[in-house]
Amino acid sequence: MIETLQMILEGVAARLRYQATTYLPSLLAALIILVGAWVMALLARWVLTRIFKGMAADRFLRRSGLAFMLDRSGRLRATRLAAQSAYWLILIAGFLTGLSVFDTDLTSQITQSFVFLLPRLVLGGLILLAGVWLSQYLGRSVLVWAVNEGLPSPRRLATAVRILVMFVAVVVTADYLNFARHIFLAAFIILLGGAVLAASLAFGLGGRDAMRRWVEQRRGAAEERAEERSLWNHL
Amino acid sequence: MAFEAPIEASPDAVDLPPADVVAGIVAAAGGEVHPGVLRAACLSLEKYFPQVPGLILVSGAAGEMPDVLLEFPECRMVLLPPASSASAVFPFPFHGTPWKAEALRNLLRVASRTGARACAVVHGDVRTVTPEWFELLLRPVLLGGYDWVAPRYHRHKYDGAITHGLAYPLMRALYGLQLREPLAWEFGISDRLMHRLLAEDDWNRPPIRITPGLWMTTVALGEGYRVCQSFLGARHWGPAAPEGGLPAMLSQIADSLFRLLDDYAPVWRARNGSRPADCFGHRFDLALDPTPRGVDSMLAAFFAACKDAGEVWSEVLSLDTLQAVRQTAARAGGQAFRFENELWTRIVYEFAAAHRRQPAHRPWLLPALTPLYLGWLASFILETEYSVSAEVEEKIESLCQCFEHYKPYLVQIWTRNGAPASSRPAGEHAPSPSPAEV
Repeated sequence: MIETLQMILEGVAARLRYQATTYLPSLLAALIILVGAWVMALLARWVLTRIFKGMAADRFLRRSGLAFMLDRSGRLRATRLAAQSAYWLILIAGFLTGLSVFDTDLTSQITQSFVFLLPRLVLGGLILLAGVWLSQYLGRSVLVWAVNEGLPSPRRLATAVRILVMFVAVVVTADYLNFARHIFLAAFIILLGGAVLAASLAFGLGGRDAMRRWVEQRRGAAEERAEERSLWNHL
Repeated sequence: MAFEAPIEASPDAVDLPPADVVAGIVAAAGGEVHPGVLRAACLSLEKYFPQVPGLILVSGAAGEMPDVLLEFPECRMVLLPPASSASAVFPFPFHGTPWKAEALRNLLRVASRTGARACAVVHGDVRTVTPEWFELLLRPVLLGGYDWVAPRYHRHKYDGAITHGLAYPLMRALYGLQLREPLAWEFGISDRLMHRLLAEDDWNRPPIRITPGLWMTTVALGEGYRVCQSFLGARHWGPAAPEGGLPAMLSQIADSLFRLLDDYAPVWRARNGSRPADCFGHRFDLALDPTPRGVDSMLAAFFAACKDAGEVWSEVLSLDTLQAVRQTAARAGGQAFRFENELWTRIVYEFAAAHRRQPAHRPWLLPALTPLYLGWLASFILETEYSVSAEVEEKIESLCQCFEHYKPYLVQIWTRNGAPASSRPAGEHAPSPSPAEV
């Protein structure tokens, strides 16, 4: 009995020893790589913050309105953006290198998938970012135009434009990433077609009288304005 | 003396008759010139400048010119062809003179080449032009040594609201000279300033192409030229209905003002206060027209925008200002509606700063000023409904003083790069003046 127990314990100890000698060095190596990468990432961020001026990039961020979109305070600077990007890239690279130390099928697969997917994810993110920017830009343009033209429900109109643009951006991103592309595309076509049909029906049947009244009102206001123009000129 | 037919010349022609004074006329969009304008130019040169060689330049002339020269055989006239179509490319409709900058440039080029010491420019479709207009625009240059003679018109109290509510107070606060018509539809100019303006390479960039008069005034004020104004009397504006409506027109004027603000920032930041401009001609008052209608529609537009455009305004205006706009709308009650000068001043300054800060957003940012302008204008009309011209002048003067008082605030937000006005903590800007100060 004691011998059997001793054998089992020896077997466990042997397995533990084997696993420790097999994986611990790899784990330690991975940890060292990760810490090294973290130190390098910190260093890169520190160096970039100090030496990278990025005035032209700052100007682009400010002039395009991206600085305000990404950070409501508008204090986003290219230096910070570049430093943060470098920090995370080095950290991710370190993590992947650390994983590859284990040299197993699973870790190789994870590393490969990540390396292949990362550029696509970045580009997909950029497409979404462009979509957000465009939806905000067009939404605000429509809002201001509708307010100045005295159209009914300007905010709803602007929201509809925003949703439409964002939806297109999501469909394009999904198509690019090959992620449920058929579902998104079908949903897009169904929703767009449905919206157009609903708007046509509403305009043609339900809102006919309301639209007529509104158009007449607008015509009356335009005539009134035309009369005033001859009386006094804004310039 | 025999009648001399007009010479048709290109702007690059070299065999031009020499002249000391030039009476320039910019033809209307169709190339026409009203006979009264030509007659006034001829009469002016004959009556007021008989001793110096004079020349009439008509820029953008097309088709038959009125036979006015038969009445004035001594007059010499040069016709310049209409501006090329290249400059007619225009972003969106405005008040209908996209070709004007090129027509003016051609006119100044030829005037400069004739050796003219002074040149007066008027529009060919203004029916109230008299010989005295040319005299009043030319004499300060010839005898007073001025480089730029801006016009001053007799206007109905509600006429030119963009000028007396936006352009005049802003330009006065910036450059320190009380010029009533900075948009300068008519003007007199010296050879020195002509050379400076003609040295500009790109006359097709927005502030010059859209509002050449404003640009020229800014150059004169910003670069230290001697500037005065001449009281010309009433100007008949004709059917100048803006094609793109008020939002397009106001946006483009504001865009020009704010772009020029950027160009001359070091100049205006160093100037404080204002002084009256030397003024020539006799000021006289005419009977006032009845109050125009339309205040209700202006107020409706303002209130509707307060309800819906808050999201857009919050990108431009500070929290304080946005709150004040909402309070103004909430306090409104028919005739009692008041849009304070202080509020309008802050709005204009904050739009100017946002225009600089967010160039990509200009297409929606500038039209967002329209409902606020309509709110201010409605208040101005209601406040001055029963006022005589002197009282209206006082009202405009108090607005201008408010713009001057708040100039440090403009300097402050102008230099702040980055943080949008909307994210600033309340009460951070310049201290509010007491009612007695404004």
